[in-house]
Amino acid sequence: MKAYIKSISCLSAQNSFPNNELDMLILNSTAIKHAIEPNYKDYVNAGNIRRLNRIIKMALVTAIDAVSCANILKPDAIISATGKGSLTDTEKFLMNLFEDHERLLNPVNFINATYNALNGLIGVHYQLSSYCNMYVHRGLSCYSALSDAILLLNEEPSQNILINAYDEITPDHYFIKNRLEYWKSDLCEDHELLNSTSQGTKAGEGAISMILSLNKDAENNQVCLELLGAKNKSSISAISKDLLTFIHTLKPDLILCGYNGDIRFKDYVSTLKEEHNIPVLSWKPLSGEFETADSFGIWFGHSILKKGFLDDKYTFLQINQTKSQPEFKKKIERILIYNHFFGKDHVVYFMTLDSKK
Amino acid sequence: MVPRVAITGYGIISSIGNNKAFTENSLINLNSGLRHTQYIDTIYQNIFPFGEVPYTNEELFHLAQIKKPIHLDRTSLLGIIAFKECIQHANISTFNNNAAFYNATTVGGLCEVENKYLDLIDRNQTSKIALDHFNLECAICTERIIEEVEFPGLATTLSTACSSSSNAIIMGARTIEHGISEMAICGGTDALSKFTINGFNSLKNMDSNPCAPFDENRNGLNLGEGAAYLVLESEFAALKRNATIYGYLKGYANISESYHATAPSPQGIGAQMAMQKALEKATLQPDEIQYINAHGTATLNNDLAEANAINNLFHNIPVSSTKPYTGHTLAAAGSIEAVISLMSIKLHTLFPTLNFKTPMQDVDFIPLQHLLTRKIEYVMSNSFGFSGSNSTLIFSNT
Repeated sequence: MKAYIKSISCLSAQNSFPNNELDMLILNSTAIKHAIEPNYKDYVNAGNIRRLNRIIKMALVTAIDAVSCANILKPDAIISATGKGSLTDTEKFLMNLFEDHERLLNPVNFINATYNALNGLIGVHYQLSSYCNMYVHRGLSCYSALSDAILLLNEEPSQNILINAYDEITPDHYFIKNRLEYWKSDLCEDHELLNSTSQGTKAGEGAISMILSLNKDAENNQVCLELLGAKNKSSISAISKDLLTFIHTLKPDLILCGYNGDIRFKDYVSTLKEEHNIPVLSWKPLSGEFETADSFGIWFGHSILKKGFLDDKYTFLQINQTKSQPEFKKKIERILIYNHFFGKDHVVYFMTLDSKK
Repeated sequence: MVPRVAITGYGIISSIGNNKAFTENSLINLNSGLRHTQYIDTIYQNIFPFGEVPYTNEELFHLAQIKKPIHLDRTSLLGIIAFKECIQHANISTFNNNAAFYNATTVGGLCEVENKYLDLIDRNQTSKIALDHFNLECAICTERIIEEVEFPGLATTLSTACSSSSNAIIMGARTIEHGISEMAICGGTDALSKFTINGFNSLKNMDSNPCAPFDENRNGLNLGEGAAYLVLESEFAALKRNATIYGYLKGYANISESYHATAPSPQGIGAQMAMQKALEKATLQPDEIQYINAHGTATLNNDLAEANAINNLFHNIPVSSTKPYTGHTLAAAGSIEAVISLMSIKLHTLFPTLNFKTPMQDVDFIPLQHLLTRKIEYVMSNSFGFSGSNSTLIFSNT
């Protein structure tokens, strides 16, 4: 279950777009890490996106950017992943429904609240007649989309498949999830998030698109993504055992995990904290937490592999203690990624830099 | 060698019956489940007919024989009932760890959230809500089902509007063909909700009379609710455990056409491609298909496009839409109609399109109007959705 990442594009709370690397980190104490929106008109005809709300526009832009960075005219299939779809449209339609007592509703919100709306828009943009699928299983959405894509690549190896993962946060949804005890009640600086001793985390959002292919480009340094496994639920001991096995057999140079500073779930990464030979970092202080945040982890891993080493500015993301600090400067070619969503939806990926021509 | 995908069980609940036997009975007797809704508080209660499952949530909870004292939303309850029936039908006592569950839904817990929403976002209410007792997203519906039946494999949820559960079935088949799983439970569940009722109404897609697919005077769809799941199994695994095989998934296709967000091209280009690709996958010629269970929603756009697409590929084939029985059950429609297709194979019976009176002017197309008894080897089932999503399944008897 592996494929090459031909291109990747990411809109997030960081300056990840369009350069695919983080020169300056954006760190603060806000409870919500909003994604930075691009200048949409640079990518899509303004008329075509006039009636779209922000997360669909963002995902449309990363999709278009990923396709163009892969140097292909159009993708051969579209598989998308989201926890919440266009939440803004869902909420607008719901509020409209209450306020107008079920009369005079705007169908545009209903259409765009439909989960596969994005696939349709991308399809129209490229005039595709292709395989399309849409996964909506919270923290497993992205993994499910990737595994569908890899099956598809094995069925028709010459394809370039577009994957999109996206989620947004809104004030109302933040409030509901706050009542569900998702977020921290105290102010927390991003660089303190991983040391927090309170429950809850920070909300985030993002849109990440990539082109997957089985064919390695002539270009050097292509990143290979492998799906190692996913579980709806798992005990801490079973997860720890699996992670130890992966560390032992795959010998990663770096582990990226999705620990989000919520003390209730710290035990899921306790094994990783006891790892002393290689650095273990969490990307959540950069991205915030959202259902498809594992896709940001993949983007982050991809950018580290392309650079080849860990930048010093990431020191605060480290959750373990390595024997010697030089470990941070070592060449990084193999990354193990582990994420879960509030104790559920466990996913494990492995990324390698294929440097041989 | 790529394993053949056998169907070793199925379960169904809709407005025409809460299990297989009642469903078959309703179909044979041409009984429609469309009536005014009793359980949804909407201003359209007495305006539109709905395919509502005629039980309260409490009655569904009892029907589902839920073991734990847990609060469950209607989408999950319908799903649990159909899921339990399908594993009983397949005679499964314990699941293999590599079994997969592909669930489809469009509504998820929204059927319940919409009634509490204003309270949920009321800034004066700061009380905590129990994390485990609230179905805010589609994944939770799938989780409720696997927790109730103690399913050990990987479960995921997909949502491609009205083609959702057909795509769930396709994913299950591919997982088996790739040798990743020996068994996949696939299908979908959706409950009626104010959200979808108002959504389709805002699109002016709903008929205030019982829907009349492929009729010149058709005026839109009737929404329904329900759930259906199929047990897909590699033939080898099924034979090894002496399972009864009720049919095979012989071919399938998932193709999106890029025409319009909510309407197909009038020529039905996407629908035709999906049917064509499914035939190729099944290595069948069009004249080998003996019956098509059409998507046939009775919207102006769908029926014209689908009829054109069918005419371009087939000649004089019996086609019917069973939506006048069940209503359009959205994410559940693909699997509900897959089960009805398997019932056609089992009972040697083609169920007619109800409410058809006047042929369409723009296309030469007459759907099946009378119950037909005929041995069927191959049946095709179509499901089309928003964003140009077209999926076709082909089931075979042997």
